[in-house]
Amino acid sequence: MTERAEVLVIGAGPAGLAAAAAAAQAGARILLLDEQPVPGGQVWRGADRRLQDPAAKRRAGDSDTGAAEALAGLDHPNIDYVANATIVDATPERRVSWIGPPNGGPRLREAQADALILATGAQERPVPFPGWTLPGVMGVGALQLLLKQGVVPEGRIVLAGQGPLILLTYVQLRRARASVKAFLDFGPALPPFDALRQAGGILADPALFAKGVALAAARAVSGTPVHRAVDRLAAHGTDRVERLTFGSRGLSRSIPCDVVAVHDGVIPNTQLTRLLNLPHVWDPAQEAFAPAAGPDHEAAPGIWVAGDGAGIGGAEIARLSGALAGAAAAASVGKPADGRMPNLRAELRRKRRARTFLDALYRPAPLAAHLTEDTPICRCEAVTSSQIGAAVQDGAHGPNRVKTFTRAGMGPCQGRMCGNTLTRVIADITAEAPHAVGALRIRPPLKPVLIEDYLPPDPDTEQALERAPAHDA
Amino acid sequence: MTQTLTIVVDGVPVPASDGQSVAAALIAAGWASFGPHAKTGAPLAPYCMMGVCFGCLCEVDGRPGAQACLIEVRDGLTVRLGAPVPE
Repeated sequence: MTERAEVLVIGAGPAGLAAAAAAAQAGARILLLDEQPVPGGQVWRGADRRLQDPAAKRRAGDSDTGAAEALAGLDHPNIDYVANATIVDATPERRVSWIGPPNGGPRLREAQADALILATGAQERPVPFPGWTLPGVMGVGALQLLLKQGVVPEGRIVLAGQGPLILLTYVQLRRARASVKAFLDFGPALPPFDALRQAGGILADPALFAKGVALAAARAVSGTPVHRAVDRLAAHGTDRVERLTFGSRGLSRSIPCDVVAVHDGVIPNTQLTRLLNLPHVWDPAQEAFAPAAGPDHEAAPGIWVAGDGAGIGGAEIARLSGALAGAAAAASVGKPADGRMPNLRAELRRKRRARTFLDALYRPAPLAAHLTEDTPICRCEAVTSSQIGAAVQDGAHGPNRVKTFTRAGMGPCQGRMCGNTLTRVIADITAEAPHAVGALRIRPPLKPVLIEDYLPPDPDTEQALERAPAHDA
Repeated sequence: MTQTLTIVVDGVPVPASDGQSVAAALIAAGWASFGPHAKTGAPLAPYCMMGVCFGCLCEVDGRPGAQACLIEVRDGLTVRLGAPVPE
């Protein structure tokens, strides 16, 4: 049975929550689907619990700013919020299917939306280096999500990378009394000239500027050794990481450790926008594709993109772009909002200028800084850098041909962990522009689905399935 | 957070806290790896904790191929990993 949704919002992070709230305030009815078990996206994961626990609230610092208000917006009677909803397919005609939580009916559900808002957020940019598949090596975002769930990793932690998130996580780890042995900074000792040219942007957002200065100062006075201009990162160990080696300003170094967390910025999660065949553009500053959209964030007729999924900007920009998209989507179904739009647009422009400074300050490290021939680029299918290079030399032009040649991008993660690297590595080899190299095609199902999810919960059917012989290996 | 509930991992009771994902509870209990990599046999572990990397795939409450980082713990929830129990 296909349900009908006036405005369907995918993702309940800052952008999705703001979009749903704005559209609901305008009088539209919202179906809000989110893959996570709790609302708030990754940035506000578990914020509802933390806000009620003074110690947890203090450790989180100001990263939960805005969460209480955004989460309260879910109480609007026009918003039907569904957690644990895994999107399986979406069409340009705005027909969306998802696997919902078990509730007695078929788990595969489908809705036809009049307006569709995609607020699928960001993922960390995967940073391939030798040994990055060893247990104990993870993204800084993953480490921070553990902290948000009350888990402080035991043992000696090394942080490697650059950007606002790694600094914030460093400060949160210190507050949680975790043992941070070293901070390996990918960035140079002095800020790049480009960043100085954009410095006016950060002054347009004094709050963000103050936040950045406070984080940098906290690291400077902490006593944790900071190594700069780090390259040739490599993790070593048998069953898990035991040691990290790297270069810093010409010297080779080695640090024993139990946990390595790496970060080189976040990139838009484009699985759904690619599945919908929306146009994408390569952002040379962020070294990632983002969907192209108009001024009100409409990317195709009746389809809006908002938040980090539409281009990395952080939670504040996500909230503003979500509100704009929500209002525009509501207006498209005959529910125009009141006149707050001009203010939102001006605020969004100011925040974007500050972001330009961050982008210039934290240019992603070139892949060649850490990659070796044996480094796996596709983790699922264990395809190495040299295998991809050989495929390109053999005439595999573009990520989709490389996928056919090598199986890179064919594993369970469906290219989420190698897609960005594939585009960049092929561009490096062929000296083509990343935009011309293109990206992996994304096909449904967007995540692996069990055949039983398609079937009604009928005891006879379940017994028949259990009796059915497994297919020949 | 206080440990308020118990999940069962390969038959072993494991304490967990309300609001944690299954993957976070396993890491807190000392599991570095969630099982062998399907292709290489090397120990495989979560990288992203947010539904992207598929390094936390396991069987949860009889459902195979579940992403342990996207499922919240419940008292009595069962996990099948096939990875060694931490010492």
